[in-house]
Amino acid sequence: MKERILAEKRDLELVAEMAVDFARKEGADEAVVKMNKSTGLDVSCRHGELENIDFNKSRSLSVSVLRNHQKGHARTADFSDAAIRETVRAALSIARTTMPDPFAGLPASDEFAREPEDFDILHPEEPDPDECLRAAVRLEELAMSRDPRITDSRGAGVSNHYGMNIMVNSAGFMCSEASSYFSKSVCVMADDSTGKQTGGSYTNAVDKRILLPDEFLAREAVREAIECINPKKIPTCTCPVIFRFDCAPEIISPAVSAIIGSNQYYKCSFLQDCRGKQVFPEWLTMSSDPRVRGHISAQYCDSEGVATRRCDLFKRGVAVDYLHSCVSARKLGEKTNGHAGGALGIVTLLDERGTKRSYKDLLRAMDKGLVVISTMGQGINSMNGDLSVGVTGFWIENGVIQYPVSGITIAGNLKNMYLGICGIADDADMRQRFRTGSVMIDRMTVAGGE
Amino acid sequence: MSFESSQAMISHVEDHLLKANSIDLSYIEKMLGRLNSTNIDFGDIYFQKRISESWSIDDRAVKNGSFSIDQGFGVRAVSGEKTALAYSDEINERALHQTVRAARSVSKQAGSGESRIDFTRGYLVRIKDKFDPVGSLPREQKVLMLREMDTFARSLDSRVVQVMANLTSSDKEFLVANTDGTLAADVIPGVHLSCTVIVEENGVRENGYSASGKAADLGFFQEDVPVISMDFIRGISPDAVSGTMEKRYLAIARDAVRCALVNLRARPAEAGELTVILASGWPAVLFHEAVGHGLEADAVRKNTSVFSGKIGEQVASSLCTVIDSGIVSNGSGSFNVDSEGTPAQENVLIENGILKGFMYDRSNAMLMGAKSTGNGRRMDYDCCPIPRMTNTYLAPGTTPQEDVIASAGHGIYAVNFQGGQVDPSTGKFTFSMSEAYVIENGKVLYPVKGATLIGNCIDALKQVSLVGNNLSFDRGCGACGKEGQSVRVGIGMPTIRLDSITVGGTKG
Repeated sequence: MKERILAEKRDLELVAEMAVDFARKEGADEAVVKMNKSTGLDVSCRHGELENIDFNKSRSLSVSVLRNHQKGHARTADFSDAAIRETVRAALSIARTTMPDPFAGLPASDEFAREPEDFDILHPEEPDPDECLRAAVRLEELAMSRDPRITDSRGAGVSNHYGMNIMVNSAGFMCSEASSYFSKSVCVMADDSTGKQTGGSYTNAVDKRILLPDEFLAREAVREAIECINPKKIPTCTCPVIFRFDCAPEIISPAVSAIIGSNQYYKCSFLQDCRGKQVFPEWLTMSSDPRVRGHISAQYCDSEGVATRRCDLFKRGVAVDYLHSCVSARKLGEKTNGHAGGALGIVTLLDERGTKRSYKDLLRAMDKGLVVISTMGQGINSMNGDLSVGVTGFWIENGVIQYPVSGITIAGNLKNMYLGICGIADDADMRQRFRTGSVMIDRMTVAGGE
Repeated sequence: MSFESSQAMISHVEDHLLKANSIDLSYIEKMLGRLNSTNIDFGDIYFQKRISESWSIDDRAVKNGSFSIDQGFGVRAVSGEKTALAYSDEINERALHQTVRAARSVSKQAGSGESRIDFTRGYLVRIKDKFDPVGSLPREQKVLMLREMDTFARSLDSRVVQVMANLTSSDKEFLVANTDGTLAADVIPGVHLSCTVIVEENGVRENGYSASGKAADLGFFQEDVPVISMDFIRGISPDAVSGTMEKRYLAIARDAVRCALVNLRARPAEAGELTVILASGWPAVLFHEAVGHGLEADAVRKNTSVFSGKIGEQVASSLCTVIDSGIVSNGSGSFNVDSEGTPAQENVLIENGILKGFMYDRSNAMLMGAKSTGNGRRMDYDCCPIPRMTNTYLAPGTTPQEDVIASAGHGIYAVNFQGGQVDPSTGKFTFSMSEAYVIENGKVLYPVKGATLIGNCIDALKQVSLVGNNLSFDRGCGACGKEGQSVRVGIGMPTIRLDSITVGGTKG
């Protein structure tokens, strides 16, 4: 099967190359053709019975051209010769109307990734609807049988996909990757005085054999559904707040968007001109690694074909550099650092003091305050860093959980929150691309009831 | 041009989707027959073509333009609670044959083998106008429009440092054929123009956003609308200050500048339980999220909605009547037929506070012993139809809007939200306000920022104590996401008062 996928990929590479040649022949100074194709199966069950079976098959081809510094872009899902030629012509036609962009264009020839690298992300298996269904039913049954407080199921799902991405440009550069993707999820419900509490869990991987065991998924789904039964409101106050591992990435990831070159150029980052400045405490380092073998996020070049690299984003709390694509780098008079597409790969936080703290240690260190386990609403202003979101979590006193809370909001500014980080735990969720353990912030405004 | 009948609509779409790909209706009939030869309740084949073009400006230049064309079909087979979906982005006989075979796998038992399907094509065509959104303006004119917006926004205030605008036009056509003999088609044009402005004063930067859209062509943006002032507050200021008019595309740029300047002078919001007045129009997103989603039949059937089993019960203040209607004239969520070929209709969900009905697609209606209410919608051919809202609104009351606003002693006047989220199984919701003002003694004073509304929908519905007589709808750019599918929806509401609700803010 692997050979068949790789053969299919080689066919598409030829198609992409021909499309680039055609664009050049039709008058493009530069051209980039990107193709992707994904095939798969999603099966879900509820109450032990098949609910949905989706046979997925999607593909697209996009053409970007540059002529006299004018850009044009067109896209199609039709891979026939005639349709591809039409799409190339459509892109060129757009490029007759757009205004010149002096910063547009391919990377310099010495900037392209030299050696393709195999990160071992293709482990396909022939999708079998019956087998997927059996796996989903097994998982649902396990989650439903663990705790009497679980009253209903929202179902379980199993997916099996593979796909490929190809990029060819008129500088003769080509990168192509094929990968597989497997996932499993389950969702259960518990009743309480406010209605229903929902709990879910999931796992995904490029190799079916390294998916997390059903036992783990069932335990996590049940824990999520029952940990917040019968929540209370707390009075409006100011207190320390811990963002538990499952929602810490939500407050940490905006820092990475804020250092993306184009956001700096457009001056729409709450960390404007932060390079070389202290953003996080001096004991905290944040790094990104786009080259983790066997991980779905692994890629040897960015979306422009420039080699990716492992790097520190914030070293000892100081912003190291902006994340540049060719275009954003040229706009600021700098050079690309292989970040077209943002911070790629896996992002981790490191306590430079070497202290290892568990989540429970962090609760003890806080003594009294709020633990946030989920947030609601789109309450982060990326322009100025203001945050105001609804949250669910626990009230902590004497370093231990007193009761679940809900129906409250927290507010603050990310810049102050980052500098106010006073501890991280070692409980990072390895399923997330942002691998940050629970994070404690010294103080935030909590709005509750009377 | 216009469509005079459903037959004319079907023929038009049939030409583009089937005949252009050398497919005959008799072949569709044969394929539906094959689908029916397994033991299924019903099945359908949905063909769709979508063309879209977009242009954008930033840094004073229109440097980006794109064009895309997508077409394909999806085959669905439904057997009880089981659904199979298979699709293809090539429209031809071979692909149809293969795709039907995959979708049949939902049922392994042989069925009636009924292969004779007689199509019925009659339904009322309410939206008759035929538009060409993509071709309605020459490309040079589209670029010029964006450039004028940029220059205009910068001319309005010297604090404007960046203007970004995006113009999109799209045209979607679909045809659906069901094993029960339904054959229907519809065309959904769309134009959308948005503008983001960044302003800077003493090193402080804020942005402002405004957008508008319609199921029409680009002529919509060339229409004249009243000029508003920079201290305009919706529902407080008169609509036309000086009686002068300007083109709608310039008005969108002006409104974005106004929003950015409001944010520049906004103060941190107070936290606590407050009286909240919601302005008419867009704040209806609260009803869409907190009430609408819980009344979609899938959530009700799976018992994941707080409204499950509450038909006939008082779920809201007696002042609340909530309606979902796919036939609102010029509504963003209006259409002739839904993605399953069911004609759009008006559905009363809550009447004087009493829960009356839910929104159904075919599959959930079948399982719940009801009829589809014309709410079965899908984003594309590669998605399953699910129950979705169309245009959801709170019916007008009798109180003049100034009296509703003046009734608040101390509270917040919420004019615009930037987004919200709701958990339908508990009814908990959170909304972030993007334009809101402090009210003292019935007077709207100064803008606040970073304010969030949080609550439970059943509690909030009971807090409605005044409903204005001024129903108005959104500005045609509402899109609702559910299970990864985004569809256009409309929302509407008069000005209303919520007695007490939790407001989150940054002021200690």
